[in-house]
Amino acid sequence: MLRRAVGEVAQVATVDQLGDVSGFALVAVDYDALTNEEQADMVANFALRSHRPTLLLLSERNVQEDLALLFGSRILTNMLVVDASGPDASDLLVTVQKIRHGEIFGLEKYFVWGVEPRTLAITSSNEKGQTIDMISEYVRKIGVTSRLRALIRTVADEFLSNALYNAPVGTDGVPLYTNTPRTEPVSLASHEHIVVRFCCDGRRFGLSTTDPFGSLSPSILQDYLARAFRAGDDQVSETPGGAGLGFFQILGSLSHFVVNIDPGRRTEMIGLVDVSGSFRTFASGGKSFNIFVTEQTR
Amino acid sequence: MSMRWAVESQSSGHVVRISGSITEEADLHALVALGDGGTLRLDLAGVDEINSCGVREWIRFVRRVSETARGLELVRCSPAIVRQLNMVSNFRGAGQVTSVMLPYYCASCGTEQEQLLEVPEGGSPPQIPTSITCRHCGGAAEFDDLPDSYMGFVGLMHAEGPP
Repeated sequence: MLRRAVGEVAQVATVDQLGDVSGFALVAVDYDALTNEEQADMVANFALRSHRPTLLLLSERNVQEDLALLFGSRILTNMLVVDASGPDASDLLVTVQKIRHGEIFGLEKYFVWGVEPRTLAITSSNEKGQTIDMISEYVRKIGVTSRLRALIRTVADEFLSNALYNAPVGTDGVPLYTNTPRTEPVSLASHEHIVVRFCCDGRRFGLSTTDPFGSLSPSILQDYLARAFRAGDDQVSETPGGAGLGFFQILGSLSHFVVNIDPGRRTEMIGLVDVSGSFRTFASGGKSFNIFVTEQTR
Repeated sequence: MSMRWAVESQSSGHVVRISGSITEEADLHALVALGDGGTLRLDLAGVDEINSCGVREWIRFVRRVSETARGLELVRCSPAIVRQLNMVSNFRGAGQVTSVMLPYYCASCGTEQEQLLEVPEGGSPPQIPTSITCRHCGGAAEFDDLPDSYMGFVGLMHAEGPP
């Protein structure tokens, strides 16, 4: 499948044989095929490299147990869930193409041609509630169950809070509203509007928010997720502003979480939820995750 | 839907029925005093959503109640609450979860319904019925989650024991 996507593929059987992979754009690892020791070796191997290729972990479920370690080591930027027949071919193709060609933005990439997302723009936290209600009503009308609707509402809420409070920075790059209580309204200038898009193809629902700041860094995202998955006493932040659980709640509520960053220019968050069946179908499906940064893919 | 609550006084303390969404807007401070010296029972069957800031408000609330109440009981926990019990380490504070609502889904007619499950003190998590009769079409409504994951918090709660 990978060969069909990229052409040139080298295959090794063990982590020891990885050797010098600096000439490769992407290293895909069948995580479930590794022993615990090999998994630890692989993490150490990648964490120590100053110039490392993009790592893509393929896993049915095993990787879920190691997310604190993997996010904490900051090596985890891409994981795709696999089933008995392997990874979803279109998700693998999209991931590889984005890494190779740098065209990382767009909700449409995750849907077949012809699915037209609805688009709206918001500039104020006062618009958050009605935007969430609009998205919720859209998924209710297409027959999504109440529990999946609640997850989608959660994702919309966290995406919008992040775009309105965490993303905005001044011209000096200093965050404007990160420490503002989420009960306090904030407004953005019209040219700083947040673009919200959503669509469904009957199999999965997709939602994206795009801010014009590009202030999120992969390491911040990874650190938040690592702290949340460690589930220690510091899992919930007591500092002013957000609770530090937003990304964790988002990942837990999605089948596939994608973050696209063009540093200093824009950040797009994409959430995909399997709505083809019941909540159980969604819950048994595992999680996929990607961070793409334009500078890394150019 | 924003959070709502209703209080019922009993001889041993108060029962508070909470419903709607728990978010940064949720004002739980008024409920803290209800726990003073007695047992506070929180009926959570109507909670359908909690966001990340709502989780923090909730944790602050159960922490404060745990300091003043003789006992804190979480009853009829909705699937949204159970999700947080499994995801967030100190979500129940010193409270004991004594019952949860089990979600069921009927694939034949699309009906969603819930059934109460008591959580006995100590021991293994109780068995979850894999299916029940759909109240709408009479067909089989299947348990709509992963049984082991859903009751995952019980093992940890019993291991930690009563406060």
